[in-house]
Amino acid sequence: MDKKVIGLNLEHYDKALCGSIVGAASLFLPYAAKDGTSLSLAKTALSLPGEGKLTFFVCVVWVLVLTGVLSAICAIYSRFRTGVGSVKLCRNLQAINTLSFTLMLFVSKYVLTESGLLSGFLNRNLSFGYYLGLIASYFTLIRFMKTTKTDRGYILLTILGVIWLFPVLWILLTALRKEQGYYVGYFFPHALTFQNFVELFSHPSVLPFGRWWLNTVIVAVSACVVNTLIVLGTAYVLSRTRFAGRKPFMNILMIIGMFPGFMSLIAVYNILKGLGLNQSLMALIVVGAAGAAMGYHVTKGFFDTFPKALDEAAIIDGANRFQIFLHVILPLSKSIIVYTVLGTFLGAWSYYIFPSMLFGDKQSSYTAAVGLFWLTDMRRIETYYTQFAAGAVVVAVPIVILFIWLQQFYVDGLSGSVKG
Amino acid sequence: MKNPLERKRNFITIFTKGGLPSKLSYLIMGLMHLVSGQVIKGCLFLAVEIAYIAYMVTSGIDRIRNLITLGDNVQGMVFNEAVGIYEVQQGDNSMLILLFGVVTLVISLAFIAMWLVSIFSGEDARSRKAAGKHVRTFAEDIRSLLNDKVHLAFLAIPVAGLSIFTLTPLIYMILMAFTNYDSEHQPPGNLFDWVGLENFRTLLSTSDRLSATFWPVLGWTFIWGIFATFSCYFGGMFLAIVINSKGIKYKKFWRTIFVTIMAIPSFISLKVVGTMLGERGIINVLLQQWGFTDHALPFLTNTDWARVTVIIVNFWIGVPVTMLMVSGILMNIPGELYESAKIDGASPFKMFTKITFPYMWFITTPYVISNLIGNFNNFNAIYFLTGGAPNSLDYFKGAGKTDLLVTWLYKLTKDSNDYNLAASIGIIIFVISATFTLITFQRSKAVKNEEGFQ
Amino acid sequence: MKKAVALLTGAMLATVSLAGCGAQNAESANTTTTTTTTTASADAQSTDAPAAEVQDVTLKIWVPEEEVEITDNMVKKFDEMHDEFNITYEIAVVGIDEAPALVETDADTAADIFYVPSGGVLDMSNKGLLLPITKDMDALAADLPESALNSVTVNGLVQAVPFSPNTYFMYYNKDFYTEEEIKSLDTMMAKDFGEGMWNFSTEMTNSWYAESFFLGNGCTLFGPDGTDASECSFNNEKGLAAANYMIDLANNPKYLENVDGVGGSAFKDGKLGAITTGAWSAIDFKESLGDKLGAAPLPTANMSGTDAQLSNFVDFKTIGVKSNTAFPLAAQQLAVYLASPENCLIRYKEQGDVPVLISLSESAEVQADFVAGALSEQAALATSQPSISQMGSYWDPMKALGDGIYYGEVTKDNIQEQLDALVDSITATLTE
Repeated sequence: MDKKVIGLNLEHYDKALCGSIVGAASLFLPYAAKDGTSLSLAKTALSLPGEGKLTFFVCVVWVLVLTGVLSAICAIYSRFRTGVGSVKLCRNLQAINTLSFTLMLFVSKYVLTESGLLSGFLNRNLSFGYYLGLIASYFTLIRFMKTTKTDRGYILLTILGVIWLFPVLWILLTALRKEQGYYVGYFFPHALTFQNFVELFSHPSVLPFGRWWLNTVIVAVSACVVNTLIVLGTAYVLSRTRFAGRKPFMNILMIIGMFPGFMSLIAVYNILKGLGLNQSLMALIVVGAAGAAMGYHVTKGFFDTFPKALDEAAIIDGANRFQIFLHVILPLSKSIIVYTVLGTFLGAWSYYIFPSMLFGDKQSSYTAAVGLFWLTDMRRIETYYTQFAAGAVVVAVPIVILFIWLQQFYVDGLSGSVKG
Repeated sequence: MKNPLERKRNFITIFTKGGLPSKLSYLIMGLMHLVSGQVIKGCLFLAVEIAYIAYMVTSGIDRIRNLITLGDNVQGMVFNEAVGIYEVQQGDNSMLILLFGVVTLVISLAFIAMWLVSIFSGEDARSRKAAGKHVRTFAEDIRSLLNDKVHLAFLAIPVAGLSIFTLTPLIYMILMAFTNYDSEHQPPGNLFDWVGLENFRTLLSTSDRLSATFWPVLGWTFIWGIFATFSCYFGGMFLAIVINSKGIKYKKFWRTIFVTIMAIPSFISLKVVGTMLGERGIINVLLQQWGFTDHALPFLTNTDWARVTVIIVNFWIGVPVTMLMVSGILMNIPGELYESAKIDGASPFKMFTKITFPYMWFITTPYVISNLIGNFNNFNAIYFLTGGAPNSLDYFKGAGKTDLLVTWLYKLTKDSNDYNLAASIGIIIFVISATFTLITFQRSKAVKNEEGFQ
Repeated sequence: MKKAVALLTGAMLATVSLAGCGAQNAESANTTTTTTTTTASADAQSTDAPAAEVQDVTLKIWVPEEEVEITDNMVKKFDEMHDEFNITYEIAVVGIDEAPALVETDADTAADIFYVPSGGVLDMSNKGLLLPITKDMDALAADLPESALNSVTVNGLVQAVPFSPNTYFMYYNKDFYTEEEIKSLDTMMAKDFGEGMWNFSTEMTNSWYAESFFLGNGCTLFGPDGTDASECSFNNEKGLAAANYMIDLANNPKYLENVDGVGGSAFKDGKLGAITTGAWSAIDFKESLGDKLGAAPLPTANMSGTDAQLSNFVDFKTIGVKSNTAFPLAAQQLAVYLASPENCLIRYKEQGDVPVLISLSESAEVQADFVAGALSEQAALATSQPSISQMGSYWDPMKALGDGIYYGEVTKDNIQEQLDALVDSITATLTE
């Protein structure tokens, strides 16, 4: 095709057209076959009942067949009447078609067995017509996206996003589940409630979750400030200055992190006790800060990429090393600061083993992690599982908020601002 | 700062060639500073010395002495006839004696370092004064901490913290390997004592029993470490590149989606995922409802499945972390590198291998190595997800097939209270990973040439 | 290199102050000891001249979260009864499983009085963490069954006060089984309730449940009295028969493995005939099943030709006093009081902790309760859980065997080797 349309990249169009025709054709090829019976998608769509509890799943099949056919028609039409609008319509139809094709992997069994079309169906009974259609639909979608100059990354991100969010969704649904209990054999709760969240905060004598949550906020915020400063400071001097003992110091930092830490927990505990810090939140902050320097690598690597001329220029301007750190290096490091801040903030929420030993019986000092783990004891899990999930959600909220807020510092891309 | 008229003196010549104040400054810290006019600094050194001596006299010397015996008085019990009860007489607690002995040692080491510093800095003050140069005032010393001595200012807290909370416990643990702190010598009821290399001898003599477990567990630890580290590293990098590519809109939204899973403390997500993957967990339920399988899949109960599963779950948890880090760094890659590559007609793949990856690799090599070590010792991932399961009788004391060396060590300690043997095994593990790390670390380009990527 | 003033000053100051505090700590430990002696003499005087002086006593008590309130009342009553003490107390929530580790971590901040499973008594006593209990103990000891007393006696001294047996037994659904049928596991498994229903559930992947087959068929762990660390006969012929029986059971589709509480859920939903679990499940089950709920000792099983009664571990919940308590007299008197008949009865009524005291367990009130009855009956059929420290080596290997059997990696072909490996792992020590 030698037509040219602004906003379209037509060299991919013919392949997309072929793909959509193959996709439409595959609707009439065998889609599922078992014990000699074989069904095409078109036939399945026609023989499904229009009402009953199958409705949503049947819709998937109908939408699939409909969009498959429409997309092919639309593609042929656009072949002769090419325009941005019509090609984008093709792309959107194809996207829905691809989505339904993918969904068929999950709903086929339900649809086919419930409607009685094919009893005892398993996904391994899917036939070549289906796979052909599946591949063709993705192929076509990609070609249409190329034609309309849409980034193909969306397909990938959508799939990955669903996979990544699946357990999170499960925790959220558990937190909202009205039916109590550890194991339930279904995904969507039969009834939703906020009661689990309310319960979590309404028994301060047995389950002082509010207190735990607050404790963790205190520790997390302090750790965040202190640790980030220490990491940045350590990385700065190790990267931008040269002094005797620098390399040995880096080697020591690297290897002392390698001892199995749990063996020496009791020693740390007794040292803290000697300092009068046992069972206090301060101890957590102090221990966290004491080890913070060991996480200097990424930041140092980042600082290493800044050209030396940066410091030299500042020195000529009469700045001392500390001022360079404060006024030259830090403003250029926003994105890595975001990473460090978030990392330490997160760490404070998930730090479990040492705090559980540190606080012992002093429940008023527990952090959310210790408290939540306490809920998962075998004896308590059956009763508290939904509240445990609710606790996990409550813990996640400040972190997500912090991240959303911190992201604005991500946008100030540094490209170009640092030039050698 | 060299005085052309006088060669710089070393530790011995400061004494032999120096005058009386120089000689005395070996005994009285800060004397040379006082003589040369650095009054505040001299007083500080003197104060440190007095504090140290006071500490040693009041308790330090006893602690060092106790360290040799690890305590003599066994906890006893006396029956108090009048009241009809037993009364416990506190004995020595070998564990605390060992720990506070180590603390005293570390304090003494710090003091010796201080002592050396005072001698050299005193000498410096003296030679400046002798040469008629300006002797730094205290205020100038403080100011230099913000400039040429900025590393002292910035590293003081980390070094102090590491000495107290990492180094001291570490020495304590190493020394434990040379005692008989086992199930029969548990403080405070009992004392333990030094036994020299006995524990290592025991380990060697029971070696066939232990080695039948040690080597396979070590092997799996390596496989796990490598897969866990690099899968997350490349996965995270790939994800970051996709999200950061120009055509993607709503970048913040996509990042937030992936960061959400980081927001849930990892031990909770590990525990929840562990439940989901159980025989009757939701994943098996759904896979059966969706028709992918007609029986439950043994995600965490079959050795091979479990090993693959833990790596995948770790991937799920680790990718967003790397994504976040890489996103930060990606934005710093000079844009003109890509511009010129584009003009040369390079494919996206080529741009990755020629620009993005070398740049990332340069910055992150030390991170990757320490991450690798972290994964060899990744107690949490295994402990909270599988607890080492599936357990197997092929291994000594039913250790699990997904157990790493650390979790195995933890089980050994918990089951039998043999802290001495656990410490010995800990040392062996440490030696292996330290050697491995140092070799890799020294060879890595980023370390050899820190100014390389410009 | 020049001076590292700031750096080292920082480190020094921190370490010196640390050392200083450490010294203080040692001193305070000494002070505690002194107080102990003074206390003792004061007590001595008070025995000579009753009510001559009132001693101020500060105690900390650890109990599980459900028992905070009732314990509070008990301590108040104790304070009223003893004019010679003026008790200030604090009750903190620490479960029975968590207490031993916490006392070991830091005996100074630990509670004076805490709950401890009898299985942990010997270990704690060896570590010198428990105070022998002698005061007021004789009367209570006379009311205790021998097994309970044995489980807390080390070197002839009672180390903790037992108050409730802890073991599991069988609950069944009366719609599924009659009282006659539940006596034999083979009879139970022979019935068929159709698709989606199970007959029996236990937890062979848990070492606290899996032993019932071996011990029931006559094998022993650590010798007949559970004290010989080098002995375990799980790999003899009877052990082999027991293991084979477990393999068959695991492969039976009518058997449900109670992993992560699935058995409990199925039982409450009425899809399961019988399940093995402890008294703690009673309240939950009663709520769901009401009158259909029955409880009984474990059934018999025909493992090697004859019907053998399944026999599991029994241990006891006990109350201990830490060895370095500042008020040994008051602490042990209170500990004994907390385990007294009247308080055991309160704990039974409020919490369902079945009392161990003979006078109570034989009382009409307890006998009338079918759950308590089943527990007491089972406790009599059960084997005392060994409390020697080698027991620490039992749990993981046994779990490995249970996992192997249930998940199919242990089969009838390799079972003998696996049992040999099991015994080797259980009896082996690293230090030999």
